[in-house]
Amino acid sequence: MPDIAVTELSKGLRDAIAQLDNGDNLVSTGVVTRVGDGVAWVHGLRDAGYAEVLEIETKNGVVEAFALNLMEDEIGAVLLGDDKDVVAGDAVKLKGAVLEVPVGPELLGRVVNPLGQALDGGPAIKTKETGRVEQPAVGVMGRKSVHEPLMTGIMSIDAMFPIGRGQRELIIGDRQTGKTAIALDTMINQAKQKTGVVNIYVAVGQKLSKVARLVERLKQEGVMDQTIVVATGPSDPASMLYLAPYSGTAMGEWFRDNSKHALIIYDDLTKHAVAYRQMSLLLRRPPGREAFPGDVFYLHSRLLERSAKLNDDLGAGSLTALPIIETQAGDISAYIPTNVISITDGQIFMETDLFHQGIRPAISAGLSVSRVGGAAQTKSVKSVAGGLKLGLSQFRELAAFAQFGSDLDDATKKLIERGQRLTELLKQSQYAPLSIAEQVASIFAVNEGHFDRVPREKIKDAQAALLAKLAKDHGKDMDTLNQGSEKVEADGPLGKLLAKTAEAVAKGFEG
Amino acid sequence: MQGNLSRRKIALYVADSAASGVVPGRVLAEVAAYLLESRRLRELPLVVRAIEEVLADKGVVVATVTSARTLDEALRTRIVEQIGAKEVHLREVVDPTVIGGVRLQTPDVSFDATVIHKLQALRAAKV
Repeated sequence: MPDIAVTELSKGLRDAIAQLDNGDNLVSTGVVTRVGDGVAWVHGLRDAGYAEVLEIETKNGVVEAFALNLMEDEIGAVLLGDDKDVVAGDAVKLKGAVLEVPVGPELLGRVVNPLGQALDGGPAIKTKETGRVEQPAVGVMGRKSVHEPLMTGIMSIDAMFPIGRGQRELIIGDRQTGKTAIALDTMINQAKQKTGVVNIYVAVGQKLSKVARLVERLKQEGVMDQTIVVATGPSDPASMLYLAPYSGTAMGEWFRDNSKHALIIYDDLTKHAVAYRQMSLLLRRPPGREAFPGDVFYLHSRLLERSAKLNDDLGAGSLTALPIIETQAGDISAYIPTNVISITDGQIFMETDLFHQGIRPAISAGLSVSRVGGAAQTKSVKSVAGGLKLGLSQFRELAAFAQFGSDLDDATKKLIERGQRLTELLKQSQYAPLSIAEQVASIFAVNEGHFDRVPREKIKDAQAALLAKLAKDHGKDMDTLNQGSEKVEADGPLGKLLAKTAEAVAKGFEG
Repeated sequence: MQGNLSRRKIALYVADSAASGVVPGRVLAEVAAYLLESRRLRELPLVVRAIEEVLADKGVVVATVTSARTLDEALRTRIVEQIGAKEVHLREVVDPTVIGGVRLQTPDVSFDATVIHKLQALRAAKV
């Protein structure tokens, strides 16, 4: 090796490195010292990186793990497989890579585990590309503000809390309040309205019977062809539950980065946090509030930050997230709910009381909000839904007085009656998402008072009749309305048409 | 291998062995082998920078001069005088995109008198 001038240091060093044999055959190994509860402690492997995959050689083949605790003379690794085969003394090697999962359109229609292996009995998953499970989110300059609507097909959401592509909208509520139903309807609507949005459903520790039922339903509705299901059950190791949302996101990011639109549902992040808590406690990390580790906020913030709307230079794709959080007895001030509420761009709050009163979807008008969706709401829906949220909130406030019926002044009485009709109208059965035109026509009819003579209990029937009549007689106008770009005003041509039809239908229901 | 050597330690070792602007090939080979062995190849540009910083502390300044045309001897002498260190080594880069003037970079200061820099400053001021 010749001497090198100081001005040529960089080149000199590079040449020196090129001349060296990089010792491919020499691999550093470690040894398992302790194992249990899905966590293995490894001695050695000083050069392991954070979240790097380790290969533990057991008698029955290789078990993978990933390194989470890097300490001076020991590594704490979480096993991705069964810990039964791993015993103290097993040799451990570095894989030299962080965890990656298969990504791409080949996954559509499949049910996979968080490692991208098929669970549906179909052929093995073979994709051209793989994506990193943990990946930094897009930066500020790579993004664009949320401006395209993502229609859920649920009238109360699209009218009052519109969701845009690239938004993160939390669905929060107690058990059995219809949280998954909202997510499912949104997925179905993407197929019904042919929006081309790809669905990714991530089941975190959900009962496998529930996942099977959901997949069956998606197949029935013809949505499965544009859906990927990442499933983990309650009996899977905590590491799998922990990985599921990240690998689902990696799959979604492929669509986002290839100028497509994807919707990802995390069902649910409460169980995800619990799985992470289990892993952290077993790794001896200090517990904090509710025994969660100190970085549980970062756990969810780094996950949800990856859902974004990209700018035109990056292809203008988007990944919309609907995380689900289960509360206990409506307590939204618990640790995980407050965390995720502060991370997301709004929340849809489901109330047990409303659910039992038969108001389904049981969305609370007062506590729900969409912080960025307003810019993404379709013009036509916006033009009819303007005062809806306010009217409904006012009604809920006045509803207590409704029982004093006769003692109220006319204005209040009117407000209450309109509110009752609106509440009735916003009830929507499951698996029946509505198109933009259907939503606009329904809200217009009630909001403009055309259904004021229809008794409350017949509102849904009147709505069905109105929609049937419009579809039969004015198909073309409904198609225009479905584009969403036309404003609907009471004295405009569309408004007049809707008013006339609504009045005609209302006559048949007068009681 | 007991722990990792800091970049500064590596830099001190290289700088100590350098004499009149030349680093012995043996030392370079050692550093290269160490970086490869400890999987720190990605740090290479930082190591080079650290070496230059240590050298500058010792009065040996490695300066990068970027200009649109090759420098003539008179200009070279003036630049070396301007830097005013015990020992100056120029790394000359010819880059037509700077249009005119020179850009001078030493480990601790940089001086930009290129035309392109002035144009960019003007554009920034306008916006």
